[in-house]
Amino acid sequence: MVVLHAYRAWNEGALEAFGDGFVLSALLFAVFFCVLEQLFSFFVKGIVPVFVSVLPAFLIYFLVDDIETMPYLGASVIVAAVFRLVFGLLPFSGQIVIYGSFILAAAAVYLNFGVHAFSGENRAELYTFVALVILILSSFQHLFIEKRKGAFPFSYFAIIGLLIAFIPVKDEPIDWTPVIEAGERIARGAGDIYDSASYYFSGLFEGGSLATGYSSLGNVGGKAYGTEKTELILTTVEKPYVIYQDKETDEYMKRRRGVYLVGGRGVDKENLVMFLQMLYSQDVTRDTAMLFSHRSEVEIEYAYLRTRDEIVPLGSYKLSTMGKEFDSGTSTLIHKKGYRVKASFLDMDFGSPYLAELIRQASTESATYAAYDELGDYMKEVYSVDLRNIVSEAEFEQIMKEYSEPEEALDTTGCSDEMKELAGRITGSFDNDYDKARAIEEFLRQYTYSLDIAEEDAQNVDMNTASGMSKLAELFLFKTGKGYCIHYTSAMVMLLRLSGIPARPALGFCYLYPFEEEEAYRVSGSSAHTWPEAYFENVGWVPFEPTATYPTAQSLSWNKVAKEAVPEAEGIGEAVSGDWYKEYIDDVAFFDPSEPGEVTEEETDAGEAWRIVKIAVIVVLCVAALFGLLLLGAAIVRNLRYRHGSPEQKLRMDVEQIKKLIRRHSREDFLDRGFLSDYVKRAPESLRPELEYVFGAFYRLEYGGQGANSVTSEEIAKAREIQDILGSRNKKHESEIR
Amino acid sequence: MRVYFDKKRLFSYIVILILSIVFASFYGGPVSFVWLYAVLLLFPVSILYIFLGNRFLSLYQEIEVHKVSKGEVHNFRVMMENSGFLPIHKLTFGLYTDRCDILRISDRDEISLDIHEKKELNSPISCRYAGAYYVGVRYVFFSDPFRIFKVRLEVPYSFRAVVSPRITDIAEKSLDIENIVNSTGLKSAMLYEETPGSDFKAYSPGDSISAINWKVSARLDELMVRVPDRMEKRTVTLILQAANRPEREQDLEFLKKRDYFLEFVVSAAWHFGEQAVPVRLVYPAGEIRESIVDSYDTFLEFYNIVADGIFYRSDEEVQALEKRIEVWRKAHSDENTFILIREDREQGDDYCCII
Repeated sequence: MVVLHAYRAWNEGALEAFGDGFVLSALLFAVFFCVLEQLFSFFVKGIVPVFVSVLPAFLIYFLVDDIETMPYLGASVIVAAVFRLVFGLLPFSGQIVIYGSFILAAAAVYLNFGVHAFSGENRAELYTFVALVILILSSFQHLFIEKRKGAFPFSYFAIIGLLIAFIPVKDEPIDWTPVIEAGERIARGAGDIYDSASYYFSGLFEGGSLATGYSSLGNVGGKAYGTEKTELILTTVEKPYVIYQDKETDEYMKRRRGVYLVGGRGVDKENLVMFLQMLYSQDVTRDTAMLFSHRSEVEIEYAYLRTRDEIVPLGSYKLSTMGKEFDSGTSTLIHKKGYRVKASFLDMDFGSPYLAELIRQASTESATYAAYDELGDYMKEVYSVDLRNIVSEAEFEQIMKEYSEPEEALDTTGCSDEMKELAGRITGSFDNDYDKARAIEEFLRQYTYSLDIAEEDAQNVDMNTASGMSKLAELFLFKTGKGYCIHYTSAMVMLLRLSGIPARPALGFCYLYPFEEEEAYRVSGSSAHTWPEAYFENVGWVPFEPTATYPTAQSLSWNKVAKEAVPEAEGIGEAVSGDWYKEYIDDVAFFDPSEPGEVTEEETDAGEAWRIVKIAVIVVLCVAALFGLLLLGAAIVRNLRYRHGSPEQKLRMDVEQIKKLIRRHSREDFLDRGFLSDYVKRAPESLRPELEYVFGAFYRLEYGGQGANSVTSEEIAKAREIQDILGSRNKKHESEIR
Repeated sequence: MRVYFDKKRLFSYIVILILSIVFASFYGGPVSFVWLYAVLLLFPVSILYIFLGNRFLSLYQEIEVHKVSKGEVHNFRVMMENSGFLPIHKLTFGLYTDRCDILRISDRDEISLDIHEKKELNSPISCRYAGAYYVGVRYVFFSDPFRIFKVRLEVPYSFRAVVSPRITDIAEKSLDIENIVNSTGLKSAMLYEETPGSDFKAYSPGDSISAINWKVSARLDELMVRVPDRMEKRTVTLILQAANRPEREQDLEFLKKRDYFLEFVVSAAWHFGEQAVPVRLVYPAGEIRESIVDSYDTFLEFYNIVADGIFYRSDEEVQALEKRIEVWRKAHSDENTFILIREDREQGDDYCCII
């Protein structure tokens, strides 16, 4: 079988007409004939079982020859039968198998690496290789362990083969990811211990290197390395994912949620009021608002973090710690491990086309602002939260009076003309600020993300100043072409400002929830992040994500769709999906997800299946008939031998038969120690004297030597009589049991 | 159960396993995975195979005679049957070689049994020590096909031989010395009072004149004398203080001690029995028992039970015997001699002493 299979793999197409089904069925038929031979060999010795075992092949051939869906079955059964006969009758077939297995193994290895012949998906190839491997193991054991003096029973290797046949085999190498993940979990556990120690001793020792993390974002620009130190622990009752219906496939999909946690801002009342004003001025109803925003709550626990900043979600409107409410962005005391903040916030989907369109329209049109009570009622209606509990009337009046385009957010100190020109080229073709900002975001996402900044390019600058950000942006855009969030944010802020859009960097964490719900979510230092925010007229500050490795708002969008028609957004994606930025960045690689071809499975015709079952039944009956024939044949041969045997032979056969009958009659299992007295004890009491008489004759025959009396016809008659009595007793006993 | 590893082969196996894992980490498909699975399954399947082999192996052993004598050669037979559905390959034996010599069966013999096959091994056996203990096959060893490890399993039914001690004269010296040193009359236990008996015999020169029964002589016309009956003047008691050790703790050292003890006791009993001197034996046979040996028959009776009949039923019996010894020690009498034979003795104590 293996030879055929190797030939098929080597000479692709030669057996293509039959395919793998031929190999598999031939293999299975060969195993079937071997099993039959083993069973028959219990009754008949010699070469007879070899011939008898292949007899069903003829019947099977005629039964399966006209199955259209499996045209190879007839040929495979004949091939299997021929192989069985050849190997059963061939002299030195054992030696051929032993040495041949090594040659076949070498051929298989060559075929695997040379022509990629074997596949784990193909059961025929798999079973063929399983057979080969167990042959190799058995041959190796015979040659090198036993030194050719008796091989270990093949049944052992057959068990191994059977077990392997049920284990799935992949075409891909071992995927160690789960092990690595487990290792990481262990390492994280150990890391936590280390972090605890280093956290509590951090006041005593000053570190010299820069690790990613919230506290590292002050003076920045140089080489950094990622840490998995947990800095925040989030607890929320909300699902960590959103479920949406895919437009193309109509299938429900899961998408991870993301959250921006901003530091040092507290309750951003100005932004909240302006956001509500935007919704109000465009008559956004509750249903529409729910498409891109909703109320949410999260509890934030500080882990290995030391800061005065309150780190809370963007859009927070209510903050409390230990049941005490506050709204400031920083504290007078340094917050340490265990500090908890409960935040209520408006979770917003900035990737929603509805919100994008609202921003786009609000930033271009003049707005009608609501009064304090009006806006309070409006927020209550839309979000079931009263603005008047968050912002006092005086604060509201001050916000409306003072909240305008922040001048410092337009500071472009340190920017070169080259950068200004670049900003113009990116945004030149757009007529509104929102699209310009999206264009800059898309443009910057083409740059390479890297924490590995060369020594000479490392500049520790203050991101809070325009000159600091300009330096980073110049370096990033025109010299290195790579960087991390600091560089992306600085570049976007400065490009926005150069395009006339006020912009500022925000500092905090960008955390992506996992797919599975957990009791608490650990936010590590590597999630510490800075991102740009752009200010739009009548809207307020909107976050953007230019950093290449972080998902954009669009890719995290909830994908909620209005049940009724609302002013549909014109796809911003279309506006920026052109090739306009490619003139600046060469060799941009795009991921082109190619859908794997659908695997279609042939449906087995019910009629064919039923026919195969019928054939199987016929074959089983045929095998049973063969067994019957063999038993009958054996009985006839025994009878003939008895009839034509000498008195001594007859007595021997009688004693054997009597022993068998007594064993069958005896309910308890007993070990034949070779003493006939044991049989006498187990025989019916009435028969014991006669048995002792017959057994005595037997002992005399066996051990009496030459001078002993010969076996008499009376003794043989007695033995026959005992057999008859025992036989009838057994039948009676069996009928009683029934 | 105990498992033995062949370190070299185990190391080779681990190396092959690591290489197979590395191979499968770089290449997928049946060539790497089927091989890896086969290597991984070698151990568990071997364990399963050995477990089933042992589960379906019946091993029966016997010595052809009921009573075995120390040092004598008897025929020993081991019957094995594999009643399972898997063949058993090259199992080996662990024999009780420290206590018996099995001449034709050795630890190196390898036995393979096909499905439902029976095999019988015969060998002369000679037991080295007197007493009741297990002989023959103690363990069977199964190994995996590649001989990486070997499992030793205890045979559920070992053969318990009851080995009678040899009848020697090793006690005579001790008894003689006691006689000389103490003049207690151990040897002179033949001190008997002679009383006129009721049996008659023809007169022979040397017979006492006073023993002639004239009436009978007159009737028979021949001088007849009365045969005198001998009445015991003194009694000798042998107290056999056997060691009280549970059977599971009966190691080779114990067997050697018990062997000497039994031989000594039998020798002492024979010493008296041979001379037709009645001797009372006090010994533990479950409970504390007394027997009188005063003839060849009574000696044989004692001899037959001594090999496996010396044991304590409970600790109370040990204490009872000790108490009895103490009582005899205190009630010293010239007419009664108590000889204590101790299996376990303190440093410096005699094996045999008069109390």
